[in-house]
Amino acid sequence: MNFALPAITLLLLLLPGILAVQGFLGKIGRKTSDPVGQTGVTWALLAAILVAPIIHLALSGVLVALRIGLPPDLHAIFVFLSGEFADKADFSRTIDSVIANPWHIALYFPLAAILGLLIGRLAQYLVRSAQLDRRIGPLHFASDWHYLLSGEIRTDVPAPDAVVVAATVEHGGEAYLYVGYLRDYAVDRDGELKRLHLNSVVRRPMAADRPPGQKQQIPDQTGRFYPITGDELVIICKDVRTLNVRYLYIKPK
Amino acid sequence: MKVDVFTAPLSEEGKALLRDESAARELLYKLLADGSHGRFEVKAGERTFDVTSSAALAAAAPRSR
Repeated sequence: MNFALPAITLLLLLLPGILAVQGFLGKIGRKTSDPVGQTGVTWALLAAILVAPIIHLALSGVLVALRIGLPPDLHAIFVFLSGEFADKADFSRTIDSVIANPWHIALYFPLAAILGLLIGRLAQYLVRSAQLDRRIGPLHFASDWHYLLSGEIRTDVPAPDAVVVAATVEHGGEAYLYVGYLRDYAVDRDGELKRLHLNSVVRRPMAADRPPGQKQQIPDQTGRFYPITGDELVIICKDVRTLNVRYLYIKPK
Repeated sequence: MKVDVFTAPLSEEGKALLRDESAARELLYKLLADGSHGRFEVKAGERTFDVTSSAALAAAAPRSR
């Protein structure tokens, strides 16, 4: 029976790095699966390969220093990774090394994986808190919709208190302008905007544009805009042609 | 296809204002009527709010060259 030991060993070794990268990217960076040249390796995997050894070195160093862990048996690791088990004596020594420390090994890899995830989340928190992703291009997360709809497209204005969205939507062969307060929005794994959830929505047909010189009346007595009744309006974004976003800053008087 | 759902920014002041449906709509109409992206005063129940749109805020903010 073949257990594909090299593949399993490689996965266990890379798992902390993979989780660190996923923890760092989170929901707003999921699209970062661009390939590195023609290699078929993604940037996310490349980062995981670079980060994983650092996590292993740091964790094993701390565990050994605290005398609750053993120095890593690099010889055994390389035997498993190589898949060369022809030398029976060498293979037997490697297996014995694993069998002699089952609890250390069984606890080490989950601990390293959790540490990787925590490091990734912490790194994302630090980058987002210091707004480094808005200042440094390579740290910019993949979801442009998040930056736009959260009011994070500029660094010199604070986070908004509310966001108003105006969307032109085609249905029934006619275009309508919907305006409302953004509550939620959904983005798919390719980074495309899928749905907008709006409250207190008004709409008008695009054809009912304001004549030149006529002022909008408050409340709208021209009848151009009329309110959509209901608690929440969901706009499916495949029907949306344009979006206009306005951020509001609200202070009690 | 699976999607990630994000919550739009909405502060406590924003929630207090938007909870009043007629105040929320009044503010929308004011925004739609506003040609100069200005500032608005909106009453929601007993409370009055000063609302500034992003364009007005950006115009007031110092810009680096």
